[in-house]
Amino acid sequence: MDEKKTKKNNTFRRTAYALKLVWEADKLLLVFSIFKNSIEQIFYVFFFVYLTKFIFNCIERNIEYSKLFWFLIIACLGHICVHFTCGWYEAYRKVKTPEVYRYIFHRVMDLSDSLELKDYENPEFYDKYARALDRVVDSAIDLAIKFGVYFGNVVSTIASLVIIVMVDPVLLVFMIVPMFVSLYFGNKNGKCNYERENAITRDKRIADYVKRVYYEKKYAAEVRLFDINSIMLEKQEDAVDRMEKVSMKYRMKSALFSFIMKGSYSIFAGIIAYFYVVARVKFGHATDISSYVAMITAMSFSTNQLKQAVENRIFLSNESRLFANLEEFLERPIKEKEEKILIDEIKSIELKNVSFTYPGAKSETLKDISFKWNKGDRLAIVGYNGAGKTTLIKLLMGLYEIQSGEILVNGINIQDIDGNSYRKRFGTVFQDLQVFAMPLIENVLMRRPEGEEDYKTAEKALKNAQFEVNHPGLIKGLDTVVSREFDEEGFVPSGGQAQKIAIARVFAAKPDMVILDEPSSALDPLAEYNMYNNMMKLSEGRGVIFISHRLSSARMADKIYLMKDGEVVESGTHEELIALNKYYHEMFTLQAENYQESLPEEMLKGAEAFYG
Amino acid sequence: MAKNKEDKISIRRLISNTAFMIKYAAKYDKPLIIKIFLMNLILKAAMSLNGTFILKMIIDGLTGEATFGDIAIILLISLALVVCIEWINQILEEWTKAKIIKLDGKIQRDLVEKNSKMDLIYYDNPDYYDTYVFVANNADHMIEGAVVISSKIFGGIVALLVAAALILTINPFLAVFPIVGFVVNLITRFKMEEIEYTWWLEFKKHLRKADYSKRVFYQPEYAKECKLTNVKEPLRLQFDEALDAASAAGRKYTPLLTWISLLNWITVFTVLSFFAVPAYLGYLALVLRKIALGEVASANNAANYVRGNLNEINYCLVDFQIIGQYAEKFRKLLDYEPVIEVADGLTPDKGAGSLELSNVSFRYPNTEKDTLKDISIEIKPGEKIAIVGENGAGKTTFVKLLMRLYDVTDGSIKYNGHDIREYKTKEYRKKISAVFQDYNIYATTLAENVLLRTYKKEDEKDVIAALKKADFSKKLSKLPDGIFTNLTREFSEDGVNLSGGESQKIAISRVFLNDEDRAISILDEPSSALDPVSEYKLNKNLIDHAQNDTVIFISHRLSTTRMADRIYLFENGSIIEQGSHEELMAHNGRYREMFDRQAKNYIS
Repeated sequence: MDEKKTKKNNTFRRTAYALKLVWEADKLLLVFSIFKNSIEQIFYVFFFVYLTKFIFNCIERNIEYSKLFWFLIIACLGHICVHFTCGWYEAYRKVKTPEVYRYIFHRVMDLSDSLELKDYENPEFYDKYARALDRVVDSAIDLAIKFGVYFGNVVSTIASLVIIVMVDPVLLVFMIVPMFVSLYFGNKNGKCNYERENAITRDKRIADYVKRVYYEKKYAAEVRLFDINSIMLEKQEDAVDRMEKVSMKYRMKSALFSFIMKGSYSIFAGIIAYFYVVARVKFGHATDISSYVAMITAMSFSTNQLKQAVENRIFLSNESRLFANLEEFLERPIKEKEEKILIDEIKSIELKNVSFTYPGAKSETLKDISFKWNKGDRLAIVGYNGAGKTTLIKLLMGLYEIQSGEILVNGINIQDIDGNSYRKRFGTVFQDLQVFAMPLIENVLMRRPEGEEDYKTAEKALKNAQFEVNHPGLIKGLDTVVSREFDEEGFVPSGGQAQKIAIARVFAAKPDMVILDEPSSALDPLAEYNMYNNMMKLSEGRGVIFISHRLSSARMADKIYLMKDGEVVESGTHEELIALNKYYHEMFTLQAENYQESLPEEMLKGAEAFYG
Repeated sequence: MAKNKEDKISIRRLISNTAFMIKYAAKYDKPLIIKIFLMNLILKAAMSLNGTFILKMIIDGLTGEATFGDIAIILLISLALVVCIEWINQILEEWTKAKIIKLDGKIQRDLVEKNSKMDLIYYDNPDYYDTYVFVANNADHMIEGAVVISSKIFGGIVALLVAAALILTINPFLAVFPIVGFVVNLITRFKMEEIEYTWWLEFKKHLRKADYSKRVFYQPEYAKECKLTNVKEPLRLQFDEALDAASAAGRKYTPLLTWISLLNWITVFTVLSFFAVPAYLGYLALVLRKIALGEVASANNAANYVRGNLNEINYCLVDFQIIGQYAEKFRKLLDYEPVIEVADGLTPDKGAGSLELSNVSFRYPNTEKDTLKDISIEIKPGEKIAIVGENGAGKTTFVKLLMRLYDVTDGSIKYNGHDIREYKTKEYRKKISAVFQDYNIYATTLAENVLLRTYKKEDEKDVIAALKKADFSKKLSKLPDGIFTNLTREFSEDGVNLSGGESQKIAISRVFLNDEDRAISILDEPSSALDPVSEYKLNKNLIDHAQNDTVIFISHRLSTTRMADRIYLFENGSIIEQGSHEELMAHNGRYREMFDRQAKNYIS
């Protein structure tokens, strides 16, 4: 019982929260939504119950026609007035829906600063919040509308019941019984539907996935070259068959519940009530037959309202579910901003015996790592696939909390410094970099350009990153929007071009420290060479840490760290590591083999002279 | 704006579109469609009979001289009817929804299959691509909608006719009100829906932009950039501007919409039903004294019944319009015809053949520049060819032409002396195996990810051997279910997500399958994400495996190009240098410049 109570309260609370969001975004929109949708229902009571009874009474009592006529005129004028107010509701809603968007997502945007990377990477975060956020606005407005209808249903049901009771209180019994029956079975039905949805979720996901494989461009070539159809179509067919079977099972149960729900109205408030009315009129001493006749129409109307009220109640409880998660998200306590040390220049970063395990992972990704970077140093991290290189650089930017050891920035523990200002001092290019659907120049500057100067900066940065600024795809030059997400004239960059844009960001920002995570995997040799050269120039006197599989570029570094299975197994200069004659030496030799053999003697000598 | 005009479709077209959808659905499951239609019609007719004629008999009995027994019999008939109607109604509704899942599934499969047989070039045609995505994404509820909504509209019309028949028996003139109401309603509704649709298109366009901008703030894949840069700032501005534009779209269309809807409400509901019906009935009863209370009640009831059904038809018409618009796109999609994918013709001979490209040019649709210009290459069976060049030089496009994923714009490609357009596409492609730069991992078992077709028992050995050659054995031994491990967490919670390097190894393993037909191997930057040791092993295995094949590989690491018999250097879609490694080094041109740059740091 208690559980049920809290559940009910929850529906109310969650709906209230949704309405509150709309209210805070635009007060009139909420008021208007509730008013428009409830007043319509209330007017129906007037027309179908009260007016019908009035007219029938008039006819039975032979009242003068003009009285009836004027009464009708006034009622209809009133209705027209309501139309004129409500008529603008749709228009108002269309204009103001964006304001609800704005309000809710400005709050999300303000909140996002306090989110940590591990929050994002938590799969629960996506299931719980991201999905709720995708639908929140439509859902909030829907709830406001449905709440208005529900409110109107309740008021008009009560009003029509009052009129019915005034004619004959016994009639009420025929309404109350089906009401309870339908509430009970309505809940059962709701549960059954919910279970059905759950039971087919996985198969639905499979069917959706198959659909996606065929419309996402990236799969198109493989689909045509291999027999992927045989895998995918079979998967889809199995999923669909299962869905049909499971759905049918639940839906037949549902059909029984809805039959009892809806049938109870038709039987009680319809047939049995009619029996009573007829018996009353024929055997009783009913004085005004017309009122009883009117009740036949009135009862069918109020059962309709009642049915709707129950349905809307169920809708509210289902649809508002989403707002429980949303409230949790939007109203999460923002940690008191502690006074943390602001860093205006990164002079050194030191890792002491750092170990790290990803949340939920069984084994450590990094084990007992120590190293030091001083301003101006150029470090390279090389190693095997999956050795933990990317994790390492995420740690030193303070994106995760470490489990043991410490990270010192300028000699201060990283936990004591202000993370946001610290991270802004880095220029980073990740392996899984993102370009954004906004103008190219904003993709480089990461802000709106303010003048000619900014255009020059961006252009120079792009050129330094070896991006072809005169590419014919750039219809509006630097103002061309990247991606076709919502601009048909947008520029769709290839993998290499996207990489160059991300690199250009670093050139434009001139950060204290440059971090490059395999920045050249999609670049051609010349572009790679020039990019590295430019980057080295840029980082002169600052610092750079780069991860690369191409050991020729690792050579440019002052110090190289070689990682294997989460540990640093070798470190030193290129010469030292070669002399060590272990992993690095093996890797380097493998890569260098083909270059060396083919080179003519004098070339080798020349290069030797060049590099000392 | 021009686009909006195109989207306006006449009412006749809308109706024919919906009919088309129903016919299309009927092709898959005719009995189902007929059952749905028939049951809905019978139900609606029975309901309206009960709600009008039977009710009239009860009212008549009540106000007239009938005995309780007479009325009781009618009530019992009504009771039986109501129970049947409600029961069948619920069953039909739920049954339809479950059954339609399967119908949708079938249609969806057909769409998917048709799409997979469409030429790749259509993906570069936004018209086709957008249409396909839209159609495929909405097929399920649209097909359901087309069937259910049309059957409901028909049912509604039947109900209207029944109620109108009752009204006619009381007073023919009374029927005028609902009929006028229906006509006004129909005209204004369609107009309203048209404006609504135009608004919606514009609104959605802006909203897409806002949606994108806000999603960046909470989608995991953007989290790092959000933390490390100021990207939130311009995105917030972009979000605000898009919302302003969305609001403006509302302001532009809504005044007209409001006036028409006012016209609709006031005439159809207030004047024609709330006012006219009772006023006229009252006039008949009180002034002319032609009818009695019973008839007034029945007529009033029937008029209400008509109004209720009109209302329902209103809602159906909204959906009807949407479905009609959708069907327009659906028909358009079915009109596209593939050329390449269905091409029939010769089957290539066993063994390796020569490839000969003469003066090949290629241009993507809707672009102004040739991606490839005047390419002529001759490749003898078993030759190893390397393609090098800058990003965007046209290397990948070149490979796609070889596989006949696109047809050349100019010139010709010959395999074994025949233009590749003379072969049956499917047979021709069997001669080639390829690893692409942008390979994919699918949400299925590891084995099927290697095979890229359904797994059969006898494949086990081949799969394991291929993975071994791709240097994947170490990881394989750690996987819980071996080659039957499900990849990705798309829909299996115990699925395994692979790293970039591991994924690439799987893609490469696809080449190591022993296909008897294969004569050409194409490797498009197969090792970009691999560490040096893995890369070395792989390259060795690839060379061994493809010993007898013609091999064409694209690589940025020029060390691998050395083993090629010939190297072609692409720049801006043309070949600017060609020859063996030694020749190109001696030539002292662009290739040498590239090679030296890369080699420099390897020389100690």
